[in-house]
Amino acid sequence: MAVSWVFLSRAYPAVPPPQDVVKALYSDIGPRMIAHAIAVTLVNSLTGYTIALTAAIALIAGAYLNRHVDSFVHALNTFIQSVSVLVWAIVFVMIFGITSRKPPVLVAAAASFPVLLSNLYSSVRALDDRFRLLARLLGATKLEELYYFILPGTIPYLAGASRAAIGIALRISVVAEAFGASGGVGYWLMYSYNYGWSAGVFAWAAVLVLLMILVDILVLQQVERMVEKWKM
Amino acid sequence: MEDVAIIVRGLRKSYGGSLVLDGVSLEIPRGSIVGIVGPNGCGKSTLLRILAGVEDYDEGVVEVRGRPALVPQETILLPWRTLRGNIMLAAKIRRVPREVAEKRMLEAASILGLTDYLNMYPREVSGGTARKASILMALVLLPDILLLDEPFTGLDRDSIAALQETIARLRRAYKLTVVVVSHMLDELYSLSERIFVMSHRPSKIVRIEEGAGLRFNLRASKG
Repeated sequence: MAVSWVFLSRAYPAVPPPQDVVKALYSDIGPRMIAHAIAVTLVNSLTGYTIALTAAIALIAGAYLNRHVDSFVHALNTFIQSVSVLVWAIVFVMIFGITSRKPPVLVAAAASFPVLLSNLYSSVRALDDRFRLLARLLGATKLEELYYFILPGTIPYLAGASRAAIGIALRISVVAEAFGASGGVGYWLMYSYNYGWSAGVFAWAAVLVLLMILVDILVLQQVERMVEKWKM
Repeated sequence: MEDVAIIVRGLRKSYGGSLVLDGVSLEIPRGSIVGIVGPNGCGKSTLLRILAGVEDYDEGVVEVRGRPALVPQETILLPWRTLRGNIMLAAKIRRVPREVAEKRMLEAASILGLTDYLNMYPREVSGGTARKASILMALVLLPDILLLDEPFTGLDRDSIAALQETIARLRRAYKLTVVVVSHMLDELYSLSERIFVMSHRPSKIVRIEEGAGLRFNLRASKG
């Protein structure tokens, strides 16, 4: 990959050589600024993911307890799958303005919500019928069934979906940051582009890639492996 | 006249127009161990679920005098809870006071030989141990009547004999009426005092056999 990069930088002047990018990272940008941008992006995407997760669980619980809510969730699931994230990004920036911290958070939420909702919705339906039988044998109420059997039963599926959802939230919050002026990796990536500083663009892109790989390996894969044992 | 725990008369049950139970009648004396045997798919499990009160029926009289607890054919334990967690959850849902459930769990676990396994997860124990944990789960509900659906399936001969002996000991310890369903007559013969033999679908009781259970249970109670 590094060799191809060197060749590309020789063929296309717009592509900076690796040493320029490393220099940009260490000297021009610096660890403090990188850490701050990463923190902003992580907060944006994780807050968005948390909002999406809370909404998805609330809707799934409602759908399990009430068939009218179930019909609504079914329709909502179809609708949100068909709305582009770009639309959400533009709409939220239009509503809250470019300096607001809200668009990246809400865009991350809007991007991860469909993944979480559809995975949770199908996992509740596909959940082992034996859990429901056990709940019935014990005389559990519908609410107890949901709380003790159904929701914990979906956690392995939720962990898998969260891995995808957090990945999407990270990637997409960066897009929303690029539209606004509230900081974060996406903002600085766009900033570097606007000033024609290609080494900066590549440096911030590298930060983003590294951040996503680290989050995936250190957190998401571990969580997924841990709860995999919960499957029957 | 013997004290009766379960009376069933003229029980009929169909699924989507197909008649499964066609006038099943039986009486089960309190404190006895009885077997119900019949070919696969004849409705034995359906009958047991009706007795447990978790399935409706179309016609007939079903009188269960006491609290039943059903141990289903397939072992169902929540994989994210330890055996203890599963058992105590069952007690919590049935509103059995915690101390009472805890005491019953420890007592019955020692009879079932489960004491050392209580803090393990279902995936960490063998099928036979998980099966016993299901029985323990039913026992903490403080039942008067224990309904066991095919408890010997998948067990080897020695494990079957051990489980039969354990069931007899549990019956004696908790003054239980035990109903065991199986498709193998010989599994029931040594354990049960009485065996109801069901016919093919649409099924009814076609024969009542005396088992060797009285002798077996006496031996087990001395053991």
